[in-house]
Amino acid sequence: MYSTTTFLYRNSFLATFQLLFWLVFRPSAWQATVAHIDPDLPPDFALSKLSLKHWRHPILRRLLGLIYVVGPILTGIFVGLWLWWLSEDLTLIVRGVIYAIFLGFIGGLTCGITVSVAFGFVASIISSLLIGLSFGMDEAEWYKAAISSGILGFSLACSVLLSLASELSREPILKSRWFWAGSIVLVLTLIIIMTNGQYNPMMGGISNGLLFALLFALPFLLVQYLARNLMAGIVAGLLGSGGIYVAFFIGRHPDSSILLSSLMALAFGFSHRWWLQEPDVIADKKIEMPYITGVPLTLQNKCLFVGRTNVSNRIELLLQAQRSPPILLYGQRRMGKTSLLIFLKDLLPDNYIPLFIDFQGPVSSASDYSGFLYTISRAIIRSASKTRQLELPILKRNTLQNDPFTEFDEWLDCVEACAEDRVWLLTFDEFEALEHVFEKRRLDRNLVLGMFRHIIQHRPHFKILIAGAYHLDAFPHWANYLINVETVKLTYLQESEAIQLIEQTVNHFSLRYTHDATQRILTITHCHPALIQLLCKEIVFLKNQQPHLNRNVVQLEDVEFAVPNALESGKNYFIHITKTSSLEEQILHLIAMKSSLDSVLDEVTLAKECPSDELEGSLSNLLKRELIELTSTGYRFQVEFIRRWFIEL
Amino acid sequence: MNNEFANLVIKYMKRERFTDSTLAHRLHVKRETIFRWRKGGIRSPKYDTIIECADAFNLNPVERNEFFTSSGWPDPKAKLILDSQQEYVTDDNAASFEVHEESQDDENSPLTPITTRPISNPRQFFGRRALVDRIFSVWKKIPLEHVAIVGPKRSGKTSLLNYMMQNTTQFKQKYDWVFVDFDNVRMQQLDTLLPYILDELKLDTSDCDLINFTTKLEDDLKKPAVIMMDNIESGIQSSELDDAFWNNMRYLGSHVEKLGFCVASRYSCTQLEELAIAQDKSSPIYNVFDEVKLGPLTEKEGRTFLQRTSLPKKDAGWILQQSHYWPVLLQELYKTQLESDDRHDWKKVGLEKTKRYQYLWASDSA
Repeated sequence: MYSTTTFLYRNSFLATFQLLFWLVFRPSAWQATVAHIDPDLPPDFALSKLSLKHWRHPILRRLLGLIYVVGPILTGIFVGLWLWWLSEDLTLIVRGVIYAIFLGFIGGLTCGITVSVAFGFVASIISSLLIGLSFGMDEAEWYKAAISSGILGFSLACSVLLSLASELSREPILKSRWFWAGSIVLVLTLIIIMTNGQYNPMMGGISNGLLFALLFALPFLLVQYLARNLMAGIVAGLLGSGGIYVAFFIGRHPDSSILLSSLMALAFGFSHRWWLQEPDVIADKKIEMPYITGVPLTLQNKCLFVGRTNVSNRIELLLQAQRSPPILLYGQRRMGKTSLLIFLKDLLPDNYIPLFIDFQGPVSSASDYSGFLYTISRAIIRSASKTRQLELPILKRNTLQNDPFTEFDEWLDCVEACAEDRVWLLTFDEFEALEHVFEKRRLDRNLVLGMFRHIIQHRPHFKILIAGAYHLDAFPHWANYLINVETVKLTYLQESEAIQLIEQTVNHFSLRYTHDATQRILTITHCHPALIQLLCKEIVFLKNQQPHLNRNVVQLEDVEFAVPNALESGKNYFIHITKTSSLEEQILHLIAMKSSLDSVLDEVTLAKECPSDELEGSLSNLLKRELIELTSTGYRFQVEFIRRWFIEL
Repeated sequence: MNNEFANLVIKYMKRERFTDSTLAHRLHVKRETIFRWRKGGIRSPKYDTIIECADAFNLNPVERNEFFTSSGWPDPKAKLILDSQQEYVTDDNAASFEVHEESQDDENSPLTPITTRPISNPRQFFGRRALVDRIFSVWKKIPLEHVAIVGPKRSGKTSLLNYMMQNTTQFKQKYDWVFVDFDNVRMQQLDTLLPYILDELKLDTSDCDLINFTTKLEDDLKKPAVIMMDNIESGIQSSELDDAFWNNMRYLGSHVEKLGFCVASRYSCTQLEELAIAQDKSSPIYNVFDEVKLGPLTEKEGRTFLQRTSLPKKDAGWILQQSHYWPVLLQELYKTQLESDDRHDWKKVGLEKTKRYQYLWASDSA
């Protein structure tokens, strides 16, 4: 395996060659160098994405000096020596050298600002060297050679860019103000030069360096941004640059042989990935973990939040009524209720202002009503700012000391006035935690639930949604206050959504699942989002320990191998969902041992093995909790993963 | 007053970004001791503490010489360093750079057996690479996830936490680290625990009740941070750290995306849950989805450890076998061999010592 211990030659000329060698043959060395400058700097960084801290780094300054000063000079030297060896006249040699130097410098700089420093270096050095070397040809032949050389250099550079693309480089360059500043300067320079009319080798090198690079960069960036796909951007860039130059040439010199030479140059440049790619780069490259377990998704993890449009549509429909009843979002633990509440900001239209309040935590830790209402107000303020960028008035804690409910009610008036034509959706997560507070008599149920009922009845612009793992049947007191609650159930993902979660979680995800492996995951997890992530996480850990040849494809046996690890590491999840009475535990053990994916435990055998008066009640409870299901012939676990947990237990 | 020593301590603390707390923790001394060092109030600091301090400050030979001289102690490594002809990167020679990853398996640094307390020097830590990689993988992106490290007594949990805190190349500048040892009685009281955590995270410590503590972490935490909670079972059993506290910690774990927890305990997650229920408290590990078990080292890790010792092959093989690859036993037996004068007896003495650790391989087979 190529060692990540690298050093650059002290001699600048040798170091420049070494850099080129690294990029083309040993990208891991370039990656290690960039990581040493800043672990967060992607290996395909652009100049416009560098911060002041980076510019101050001596290693980076040296790299840029080698790329933008020494590199073009070296190119010029080689071109000069070659033309001299061909016994060309001095004027031609000087013109060739100047042209190559400026072409390489400006082309590299332009690509460095707009695309990537590494890309620009490879593209400019290869192109300017080949173009300079062919300076002695007659005009038409030289144009053909120059265009083919440009295409070769750029396609090779594209291949290098593909090998350097990483998770770090996902932030689009179009969002950088330095990119726009640099691009405007470059375009203006090009316009000035081209309208100047004066031709000399320097102007020729500068203008063609600028033009070819900009013709690549602009379509590349646009298409990559829109399609979110690097390859699509590359195709667009090559068509924009090489394609236009080829078309221009054919327009002036009707010679279609340029098409063949261009295609050959393109194929040769791209084939680098197959015949020159450093094999151990793949070995060194671990798969980055895209899956998240244990914590709710945040707005930064949009790609992990899949589906649920049917649920959000139902919620929206219920909210549309003028006097919409309170909504209960009900679902098993770890089904994604909290994540859904967090993503309501995107799922609901802008006229809804989702406000997230978790009854777990400071709200239910409050020892009095002023603390309780204060923490709710803080949650509302924070949420409004995050979801709809609304600045709400602050409710001070001491204001609530004397008459907390009245003060809070008046504060809600002020809140409502901030956006009168919109709907404020109060989403209360983990409502059962508040019930726990009532049972401990820290707060009075009548007062608190009475307040919510008042909001429902007298504030038409405020809607209430409560979320939890229990049905309101378990909390009869709540039903007295939250009348006509509409229940929206959050259950397993659809199969297509689950496949998206497994296979297409992030862009550039370097893991591929075989059909059998995906189907196995779906079967074992029953499309449960948390279990999918738990199992897939273990699969990624497993694959990262495997040799590179096997690493990027998940086979069926990988899935089976990961299951025991997932059961072990995800113990905490299983403990919580399987909190049952001793009879229920006994029933579950029995069903686990005597049923499988393809078989069930019939009722007669179950009754024989678990003779108890409470059997029916326990079974009913387990069915309600969706731990088991009843088929026409008997009982089995709804989720195979959970059945295996009980077997292990 | 030792002003020269004080000035050097201040200089290197600033360079290595140590606070009084973090340096004190690293050296297993009181915070007041570091304070007094900085004020020049200690004429003659303890020798073994100075040695550890010099390691913590990553001093080059010239700096070490100056540091030890000012402390009044000789540098034990002086001869070794002169012999090794190592070159140190300074600002002047950074242009001809060497790019290398910090490697815990540094074959050049010999191991000193440490048996009486957790390893605090990252260069003395060995093995567990896959585990460290696994744990760090969940902290590489936002939201930070939570991990439980579970293992029997003396399995190396605290050493692992120390190692992760000290040797985090990529994370050192980007993350804040807080170490909470719930065996420390001060960490079992809210009025010392909450300000301590906020202080370590460079947040305002005034007006520090539970609600304000939670609000500050929600609103003011800008840099990703990991709170390491060692011996969490003691925290659960503390009467002062009540249900409200653990409730809030669970809430913070769910909703502060830049906050990650790493809890360590000799109890499994199941047992910790039962402990919490018995105390009528919320589960502190509700959001922990990743339980990693500290067991024996792999054979390769065990052999790597012994390669860094001066043991003859035969002795090394015997130690590997008797230790069952448990790090504490590797250390104990290695230490016994080093300290022994009579080579034939040292194995007998070593075997006697291993008897009190039999629970380790009993837990392993369980």
